[in-house]
Amino acid sequence: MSAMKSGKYNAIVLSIALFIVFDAGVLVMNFYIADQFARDAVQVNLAGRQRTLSQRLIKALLQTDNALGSGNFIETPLNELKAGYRTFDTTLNAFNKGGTITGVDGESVSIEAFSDTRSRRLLTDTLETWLPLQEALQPMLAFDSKIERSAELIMTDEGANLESDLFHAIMVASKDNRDNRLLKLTNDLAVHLEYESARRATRLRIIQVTGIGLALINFFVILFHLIRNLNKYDAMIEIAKKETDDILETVTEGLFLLDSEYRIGSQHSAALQDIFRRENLAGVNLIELLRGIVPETTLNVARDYISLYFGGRVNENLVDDLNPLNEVEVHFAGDGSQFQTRYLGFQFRRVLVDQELSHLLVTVNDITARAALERELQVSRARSTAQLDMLMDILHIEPEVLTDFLCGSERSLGKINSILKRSAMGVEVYRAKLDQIFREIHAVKGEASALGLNSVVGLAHDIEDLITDVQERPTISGGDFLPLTIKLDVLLGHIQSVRELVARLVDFRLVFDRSKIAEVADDQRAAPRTDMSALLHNLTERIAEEQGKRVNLHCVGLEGKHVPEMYRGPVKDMAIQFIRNGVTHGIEGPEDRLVANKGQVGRIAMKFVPLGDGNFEFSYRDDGRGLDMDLIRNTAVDKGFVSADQIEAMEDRAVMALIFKRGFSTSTEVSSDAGRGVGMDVIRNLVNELSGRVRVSTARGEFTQFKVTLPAIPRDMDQAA
Amino acid sequence: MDETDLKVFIEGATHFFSHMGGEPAEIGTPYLASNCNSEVKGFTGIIGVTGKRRGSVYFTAPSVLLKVLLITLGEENTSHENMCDMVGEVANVISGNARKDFGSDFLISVPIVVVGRLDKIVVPPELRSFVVPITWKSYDASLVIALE
Repeated sequence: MSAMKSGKYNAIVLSIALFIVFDAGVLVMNFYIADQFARDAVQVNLAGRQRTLSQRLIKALLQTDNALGSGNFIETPLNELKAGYRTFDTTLNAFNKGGTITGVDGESVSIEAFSDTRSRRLLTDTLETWLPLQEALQPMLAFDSKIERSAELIMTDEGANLESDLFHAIMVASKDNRDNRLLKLTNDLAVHLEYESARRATRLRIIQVTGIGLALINFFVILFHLIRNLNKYDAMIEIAKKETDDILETVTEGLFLLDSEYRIGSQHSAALQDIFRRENLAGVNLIELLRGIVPETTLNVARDYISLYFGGRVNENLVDDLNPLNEVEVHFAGDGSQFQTRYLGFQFRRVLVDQELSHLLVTVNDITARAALERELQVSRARSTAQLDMLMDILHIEPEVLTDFLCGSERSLGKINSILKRSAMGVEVYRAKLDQIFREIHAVKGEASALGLNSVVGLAHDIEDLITDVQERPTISGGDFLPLTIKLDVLLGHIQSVRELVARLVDFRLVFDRSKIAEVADDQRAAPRTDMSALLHNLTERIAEEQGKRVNLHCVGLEGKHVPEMYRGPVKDMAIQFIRNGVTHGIEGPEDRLVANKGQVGRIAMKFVPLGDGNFEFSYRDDGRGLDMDLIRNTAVDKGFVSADQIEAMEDRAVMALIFKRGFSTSTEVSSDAGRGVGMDVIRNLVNELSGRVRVSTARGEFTQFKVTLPAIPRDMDQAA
Repeated sequence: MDETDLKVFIEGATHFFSHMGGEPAEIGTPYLASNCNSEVKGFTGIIGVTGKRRGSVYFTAPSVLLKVLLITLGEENTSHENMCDMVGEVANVISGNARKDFGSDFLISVPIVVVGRLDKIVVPPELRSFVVPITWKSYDASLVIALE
């Protein structure tokens, strides 16, 4: 990556380096030539001064001579001559050999000896021309110029000598002056120096222009290169961005980066918005995003779990394995107040930059379909397991009998629900409701018990317990029924489950039987589908076995279709209650029976017969211990049904009627078959509902007999049945 | 269905009448209903529940109860809108109570109000609802709890 970067910038770095080199070169050259320029200027100025001095010397010489001749003071012109001489001579020497002299501005300047050929040649010529004049001027230089009056001077030898020397010098100068040689040479020198200086200036400009030109070319090369590269990289970035955008637009997962503050990065897949049903997710805090669509507990789990990733010490694979967010149930506000439940799967990966944790890459998937399937599978599995348990419960029962029972039970439970639904309020109403419900549920329990449906018996028994509990309270409110209603819901659900299972079993049996259908005899197919006596035999055997008794049941008229449809249900319910009571309370144990000179096996006979007047008689008789009138009397008093005085006054017939009272039981223990004192109450209610009559006869130690007379069925109802 | 969970909703409703209605409401014997629409009494405030349990809870009341309630609360204007607000308010109190008691395992929605049949409300047909009759000042309302 870094190698690629440096390659990308090499050309730019080289171009910039060249630009700097060019600029520096021009600058250095500039400095050098500027310095040279300054030197040239000094030389040009000095050469100009020499040209002027060459003329001024002649002028001073003539003025000195003129002053001397006319008797004027010579000091000024002589001093001027001296000064001009010194300056000219020292400057000429400096031009020749180099040295420090006084410049035109009076400052000391250091100059180098002329080195170029032309200058040297002009200088040599000047020196040669200067030499005679220089020698001729020596006497004037040595003359003391402080003599005050010239008139006196001319009279002196010194003055005469001076005049002579002046004359000689003027001659030399005049000779020279005839062709202005010194002036011409100094002028040539000045012009030459000026020309040299101008040449250098031109060279400098060329160098400057070239350098700047090269720098400009370089600049444009850099610019072109940069723009081209920028365009190229822009295009590459554009392509890369397009590809990234295409991926983010197309990918079905929610993809985004999460920072340590749990904020979603600026780039995320389009699917993320669909998944969270929200736009503008960039910069949104993930925890806040989840708030409101998951319960608080899930929110805390999410926060804690993500923090594990940012705590760098924890092994990523280990954290992955623990991911509690791989299936999160989220709830979006749907239509109305309903929630729409979806399942989201979150996956996290650490993003490292230079070995440092920078972000988490988060992948979110909507896994609703899969999760729903899994849940369905779980429910189905749980149901199958429950049904397997149930299967053991119902396997021994004929499906038709069972279906019959289930239909009847559902009717009974529906009736219970109707009782609950009745809107009347008040303690007495509630107690009455409880009584009615108890009778219904007791009947259901009885039949379930007869069929050996222990699960139903258990649930019905629980409802009875709940009712008994509420009944014992001094005051009852509607809210007290809540557990009862809940249990009713459970029982209904259970019965529905059994129904489903039976339906499946029937289907299965139909398939199974098809292969053997040819073997099935016609008479077998014609056999009655439901047989009440079979049910009653089963019940008798089961209760007898539980009680350690032996009982033989003999049924007449209860098989097949002898019992009219309309009476079939109530007769069955009554028969069940008679058997439960009879086996539990009536029939003695084998040992007691031996003591009483009876056979070990007790006998119960049940008979349903039409009477001549169109009525029906359903009778029950057992050869048990008979009703214990004293026990009934005592129980009635103990349980507060009648007072002690009242019982004394009651005849046996009236006392026997007490056993039909709700809650009357001589048993001290409550079992699922008897003991609550409800069975006889159920019978009495059934008889009352059917407008029938019930009679009891008993002989102590010999038998108990119930005879239920049921009225004739009206013709239209009979036909309907 | 859990008795404790049901009681939370029932208490929400009774709490409302005890504190706002001037006199407590009486609870009738709860029963089961497989068709929620049969329990609708005109104005219904509905809250959605999800999380540990999911489904809906409705408070449904006839207009007469809502009018009396409005007047009891000092509101003389018993317009349709105000009755809608009233039934929504009861649902709101039930919802708030549920949020407080259920804590972090549940999500309880903001109530919505429906007048007439609950056409848009989807309740699984196999799901039986618990209907809790509520009588306040001799007027009948119902709390329908339909939770899985």
